[in-house]
Amino acid sequence: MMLFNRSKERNARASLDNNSESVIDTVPKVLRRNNLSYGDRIAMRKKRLGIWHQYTWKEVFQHVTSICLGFLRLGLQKGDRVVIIGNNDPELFWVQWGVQCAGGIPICLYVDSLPEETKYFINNSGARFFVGEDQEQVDKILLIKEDCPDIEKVIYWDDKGLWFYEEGLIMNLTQLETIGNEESAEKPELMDHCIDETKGIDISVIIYSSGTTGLPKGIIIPYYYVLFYPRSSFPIYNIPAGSEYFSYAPPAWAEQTMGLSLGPDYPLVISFAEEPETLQNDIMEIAPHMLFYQPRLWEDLARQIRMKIDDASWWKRLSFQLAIKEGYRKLEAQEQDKAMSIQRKIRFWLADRLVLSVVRGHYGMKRVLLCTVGGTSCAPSLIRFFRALGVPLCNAYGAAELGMISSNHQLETRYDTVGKPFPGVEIKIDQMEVLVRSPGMAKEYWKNPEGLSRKMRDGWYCTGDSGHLDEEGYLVVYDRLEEMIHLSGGAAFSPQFVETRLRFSVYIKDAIVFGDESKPYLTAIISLDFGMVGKWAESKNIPYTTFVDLSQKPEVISILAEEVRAVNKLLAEGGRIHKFVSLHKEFDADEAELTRSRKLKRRVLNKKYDDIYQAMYEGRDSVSVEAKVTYSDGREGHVNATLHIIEV
Amino acid sequence: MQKLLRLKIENLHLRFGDLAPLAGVELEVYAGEILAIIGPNGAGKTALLNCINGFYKPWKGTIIFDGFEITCLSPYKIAQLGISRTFQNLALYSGATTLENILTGRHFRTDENFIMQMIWFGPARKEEIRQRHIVEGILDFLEIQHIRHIKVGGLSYGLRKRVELARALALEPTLLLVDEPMTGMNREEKEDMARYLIDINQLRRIPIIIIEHDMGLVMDITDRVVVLDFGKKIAEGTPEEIQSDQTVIHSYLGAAESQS
Repeated sequence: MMLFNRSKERNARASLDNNSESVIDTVPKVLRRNNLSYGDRIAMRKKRLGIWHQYTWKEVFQHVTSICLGFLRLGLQKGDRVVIIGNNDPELFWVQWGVQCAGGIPICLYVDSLPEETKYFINNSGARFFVGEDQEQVDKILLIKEDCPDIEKVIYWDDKGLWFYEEGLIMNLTQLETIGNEESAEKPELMDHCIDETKGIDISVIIYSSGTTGLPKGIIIPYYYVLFYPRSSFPIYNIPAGSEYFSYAPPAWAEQTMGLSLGPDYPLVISFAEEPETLQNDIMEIAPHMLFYQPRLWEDLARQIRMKIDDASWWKRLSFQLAIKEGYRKLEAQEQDKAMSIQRKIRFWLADRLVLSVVRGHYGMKRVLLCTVGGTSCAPSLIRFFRALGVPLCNAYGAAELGMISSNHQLETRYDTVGKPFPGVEIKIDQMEVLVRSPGMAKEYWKNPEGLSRKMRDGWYCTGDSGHLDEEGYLVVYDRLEEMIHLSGGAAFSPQFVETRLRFSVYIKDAIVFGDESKPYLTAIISLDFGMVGKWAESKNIPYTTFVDLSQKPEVISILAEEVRAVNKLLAEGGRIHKFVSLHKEFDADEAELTRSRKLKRRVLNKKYDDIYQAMYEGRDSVSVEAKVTYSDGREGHVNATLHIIEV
Repeated sequence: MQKLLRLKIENLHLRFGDLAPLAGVELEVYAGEILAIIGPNGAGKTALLNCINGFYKPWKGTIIFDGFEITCLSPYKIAQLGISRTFQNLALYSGATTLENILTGRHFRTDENFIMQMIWFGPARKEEIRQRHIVEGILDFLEIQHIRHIKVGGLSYGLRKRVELARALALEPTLLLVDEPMTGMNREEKEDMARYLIDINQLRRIPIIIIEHDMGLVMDITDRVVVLDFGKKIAEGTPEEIQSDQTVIHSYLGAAESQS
């Protein structure tokens, strides 16, 4: 493992940043610095044909140079947009950096964007170039080519299945690099010149908001925004340079604004999975130092761990229970700021060595120094579970327009909060709403310059989130302001707050909670976790056929009711869930029920499940549904089911 | 342009006592084509494949592959000549991993020295690495890296079919026989399998003989179709010709319709 002396490292960085004639204020400049100062250090790892291949910063810079000059040869002008779709791969990073060096603006989209969605993004951004990973993406663009007249060239990097496609519009990435190399031979100064041209206020990327409300908006992200997070978080998290980072977050936004700048700026060693299907195994092999999962993934992971333990032999179950108890004891001591007795320390050390570290190792968390969870906030019980396991999970808070705003660090135990703001970020609360002023803020919306200023109030950005700052300066975020709901009894609640706590259950994959001023209590639609509940049913010898069948089994319903009761205990008396329905299917992004980042689309869900909602408040004991199901390839099918309404 | 003849079967008869699964079949396979053999159950399709790769000894007739007569050769010799196949009801080592299963397909293509292999030294080690590299290429081609170290017995049916195809490819065949590669698969798996077969055919220039019941797929991916019924060839032609052939409709498609 290559870790470097931290203080020495930091001094070296500081002197490097100050001494160089121009300030390193853009990602291309960071890459050039890495090439000069850390050229021989490993920058990236990618598993190809079963073997981890490594790239040094020098090699990476070489690829970036070729791609940058290749694009210039193709006629890329400063400010031109390039749409990129692909899984996390070294090539995706090189292309993005190459485009940035050339003065272009990369836009990454989700791999599973439908052709219609892709068309919207391409035309909205007016992209001239399209870079796709493989045949799937190239086919997508060929399908919509007629409607995207601005696209001049389509470039791909994985040629599987593309051997017999006609040249002309499409081109291999190696071909692009070849013409880039020719350009480089002719004009060796060009790359340096291009990098000098980039400025901190230039646009680094455009990201599209996930569109929980309406059409996705393009947000213009300047370089000072993308470099703000690595530089402000550096002293807080205290992660040494040369740490292992695993890139798996979808490039569509999180990775584009984080990994792509964090990786080179620290610098870190960035690893990539062989295929999306091998991710879990590859993470286990690398055992990265930092993990950034979405809340959903942490929830899934917790569920998996607990389910696996339940499946294990009795003595494994017993030893895990004893060990995690020691973990919780240590956590409690940390929370109450008390010292542990020697005996306790030894017991914890044993538990950690013999059991907890083994469990962590199975999920690639053997060496983690930092885990964060962003996006919608996480249930404190979930964070406590991971902390007890020895995983330093921290809540972080950010917004697409602002970047990262605040975060807990590894030693803080305020899980109910999202931590203190990063240095330089100011927060104030105005009528329950969180207002933020940050040096790393987005410029404006794409093709809508006034859009962002409408969200500003006296120089403060209105997040639209409700929350409060406590006396110690920790920020607590409840929910979107417009999502806070009052019941007829007067109690206020946040659906998201209740839903995240429901999702902490091993058996519940998704849930949506209803209630408003005219209703006296809450109701919920619960979508069970087919894998987990299926396994549970098998272990209890409960036969089932399909999702629909399983979801309505009396035994399944009774365990769900048990989980709902447990969540109710956490809620105020007047705002508890009285009725729920176990849904016959999972919520699905292909049916527009979730965003691609797996957030609930409430408006769609409210409309779609209106029948169930009405039935729950009308006091009926069952409701029949006929649902149209859209499969991932666009075909449609019908499902009929009778759903029981359960009172708790 | 005259296409290169790769496999020629003349007047092939197969008998088990009074039963005659094949009664005078004639068949040609040309370079680079995908040929489908269709026909009702018991028409002799699998028996024909079994004759080609030597599991059954025909009673009469000749099979000529690339100019050699292979009619009564042992299966392993035929495999050495470059004919590999997959089976209708899967013939994998279910206790071994995907990787190990595919490596068995490399048997004929491995330079071996028993003693060297045992002590895992020098050339033996280098050879093993070379073999692994080739197998990894196949894993990548068929997109089954994620099950590399998983025992085949625990895999889904669709994946096991893919592993079997991978093993057949590991032999570096010059003629590939696939027996019902898509039974028991859902539509998505079928589409994947069809894409792999087309890729194998185009990229590696391997002719493929395929037995398949999904008519839609057969019509989509094959160049030529041969129809068998009661051990005899009753029709041959492009998919379009076969679809409009009255004898075929009567004996096969018609029968299938009246059955359902």
